[in-house]
Amino acid sequence: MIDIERALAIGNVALKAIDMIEMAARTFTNAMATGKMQLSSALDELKQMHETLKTDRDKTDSDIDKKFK
Amino acid sequence: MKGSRMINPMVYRFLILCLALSACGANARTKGLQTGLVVLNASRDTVLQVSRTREKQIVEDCLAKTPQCTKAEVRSQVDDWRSKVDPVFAALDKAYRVLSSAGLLSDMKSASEALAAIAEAVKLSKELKP
Repeated sequence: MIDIERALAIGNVALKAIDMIEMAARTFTNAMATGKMQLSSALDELKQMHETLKTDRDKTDSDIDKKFK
Repeated sequence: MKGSRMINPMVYRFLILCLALSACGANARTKGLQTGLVVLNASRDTVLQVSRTREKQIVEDCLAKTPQCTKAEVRSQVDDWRSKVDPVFAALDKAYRVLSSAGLLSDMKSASEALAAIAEAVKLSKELKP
């Protein structure tokens, strides 16, 4: 014989557990996605550093060429 | 039956605890890396500003203080300054690259390597004397 009440209780506990696992997994996925965003941000900032440095140095070189002929 | 084929609720609790702990750990790691990126950006901006100002100052000082200053002299002074500041830019470059690699991984070793590279770049930035 199947004990209906017991089966329902077990099913209920299982559903709650699945909900909690899903929530924890979603939090983990979000944290990983933020970590991936870090990658592109860091590389963008690095690119910006080299571009600004090149612009600044080109300007200095151009000033030297203009002012000291 | 007696629920013999069901997974023990204790196993569920353990599984949830593991997932929650790994989520918290990943979050703390990510926040650490993000803070590192902010610190690194601030150092980079400061070094860029210092370098820009110093190069301008070298050119202007050469013109104003010594009218006989030649192009070769000013060029040499600018090159001297660049050889001083280039190792700082190299350290910043390395820190950005290590940080971006740590963003791809999820272990603590890569995160601590990234934070060490950031600390080194910040230290060199602070030691830079115009």
